[in-house]
Amino acid sequence: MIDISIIILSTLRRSTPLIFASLGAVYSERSGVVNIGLEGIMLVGAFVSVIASNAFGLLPGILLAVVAGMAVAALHGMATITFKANQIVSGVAINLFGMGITAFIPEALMGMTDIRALNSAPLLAGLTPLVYVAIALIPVSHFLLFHTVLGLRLRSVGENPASADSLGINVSTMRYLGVVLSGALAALGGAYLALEQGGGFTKNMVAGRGFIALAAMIFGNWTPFGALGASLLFGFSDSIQTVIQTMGYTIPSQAIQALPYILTIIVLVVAVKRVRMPEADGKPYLR
Amino acid sequence: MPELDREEAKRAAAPIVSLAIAFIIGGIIVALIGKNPLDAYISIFRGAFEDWGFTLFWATSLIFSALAVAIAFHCGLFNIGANGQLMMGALAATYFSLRFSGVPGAILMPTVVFAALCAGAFWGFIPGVLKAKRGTNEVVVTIMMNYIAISAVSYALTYPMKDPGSWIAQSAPLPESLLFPRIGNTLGTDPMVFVAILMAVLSYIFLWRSRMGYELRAVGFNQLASAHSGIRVNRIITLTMCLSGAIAALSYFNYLFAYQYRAISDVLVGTNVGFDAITAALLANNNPVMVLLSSLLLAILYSGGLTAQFELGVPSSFYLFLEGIIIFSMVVFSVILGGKND
Repeated sequence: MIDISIIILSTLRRSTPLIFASLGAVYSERSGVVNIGLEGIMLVGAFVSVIASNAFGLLPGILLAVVAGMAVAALHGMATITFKANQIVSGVAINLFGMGITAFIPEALMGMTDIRALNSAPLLAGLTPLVYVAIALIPVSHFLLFHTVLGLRLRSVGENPASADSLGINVSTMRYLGVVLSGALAALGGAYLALEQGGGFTKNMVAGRGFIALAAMIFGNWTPFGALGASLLFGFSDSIQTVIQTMGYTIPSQAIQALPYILTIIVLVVAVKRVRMPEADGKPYLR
Repeated sequence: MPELDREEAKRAAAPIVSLAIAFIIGGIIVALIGKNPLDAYISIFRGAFEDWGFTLFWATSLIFSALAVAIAFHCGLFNIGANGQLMMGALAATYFSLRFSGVPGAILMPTVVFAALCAGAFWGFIPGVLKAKRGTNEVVVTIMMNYIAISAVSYALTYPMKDPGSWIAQSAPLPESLLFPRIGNTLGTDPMVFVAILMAVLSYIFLWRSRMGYELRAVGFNQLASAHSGIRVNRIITLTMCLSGAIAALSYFNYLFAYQYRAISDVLVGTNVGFDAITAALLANNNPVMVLLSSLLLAILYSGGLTAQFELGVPSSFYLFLEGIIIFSMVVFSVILGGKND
């Protein structure tokens, strides 16, 4: 007999980085900027959180990781919003940059690729605080995006930047806001992975979660609650792998690993009418 | 100066300026970790030259994937799925090689190539047809296809295709009749390097001298106008992605048939060539012939980077970092210099 609470806790743990990053993707894409650089930003967040928390303590470490994530995202914003460069190309650059710098610095300065975290987070009912933060941010983001003037403005520049502009909304400012928020959230996801799940930083530890988060955001139809649901689903499918194997079923783990991606494609194909990306998502705004 | 020449000059300047910027920023970083930047760059270029076989080998893989990215780009499509396409190509090639290992090489090799082309084309077909029929974003689908390919390769080489005698996830050795000869037995001198060069020239001819190439570029330039002038846009989009996937599928042939002589799961799954290819295509301005140069340059940085790591302790991840800056300055500077913005 499998203890249900173990599966629930494991699902929540595995979902948390995805919840953060996919929520970040919602902000960015709602403002009209595709950010496939989430993977790289998560890596930077994970890396900085370990270095900074070892030096200054847990909370400052997490905050500095968020700042670093925002800074990297601002680079993406500069390229795509100010210079109106291709958003995919810039995202690829962010990923290469993130992979490169987080491997380069520890190797060059410390002669190793892995860094242990010295501080560990306290447990609240079996889960670390960032899990609760992630879940709490979902209703907050829903309210912010769909029930405030700021949210309306942010969404308007992602749907129709020209008319938003004509109403006096600063398209660039709103898009920077969306992108920088996505950087902050992706970095939190990375910090969670490194500090509260991994016990430190290892080279390339994000291992594709930035891309799964992108899938979760699409699966969740560009909404915070949708992103939460999809992240939980993907986290669940991830955590039942071990359960299935201990129960003696011979479903190869690779089949379950591929599931989020297959599901996302199916959703894109089947539910094409329901799933709708913001109108101006991915398009630079040329005045 | 006539307007056209100025545009051309600006477009040609962007890669050179970006490379210069990347080398300068990279040099600063190297200096920050307490090494001499000049020594590092000398070590990189000397190392790449001394180990020219490996440099050429690496460039060969990169050329195929970069051509795949460049061709798709001319049609306005972003194929960031070259990783998945090359993995599926390698997997199909391995499967057919081992399944029909008794067949003479002269018959088997064309079959194997055809199988790989089909596998890559199929991996490109799915995002292509979804884009054409449903308007689904090809970037998202190619990302998903990359990860599905990772699972497929990892599964195949862990279970059904695993070499029973080995303790890691890899295939049995490929049949001897299929192995590529190498000049003087040096790495990088197998036939694939010549195929890659030929493929670049053919791609150039295809894009600028063939009817489909013309239609492909027309769709990339303006879909609506192309549709009005009678081009079947959906068909072109689907076919372009198939073609792109098929070319990418050949990327690891040199790896399979002239280096490791078997498919190793960790190597295929861990590939970054499909993303390096984006840098190469971008640096080449998506010109297939220039892709040869840009791929060679990236291969020099990669191969020489290993030397610099060995000699000076500059981590080989310097390469990824440098690549990120190259792309970044490329996109920013081509806009500043007033080049095409897409």
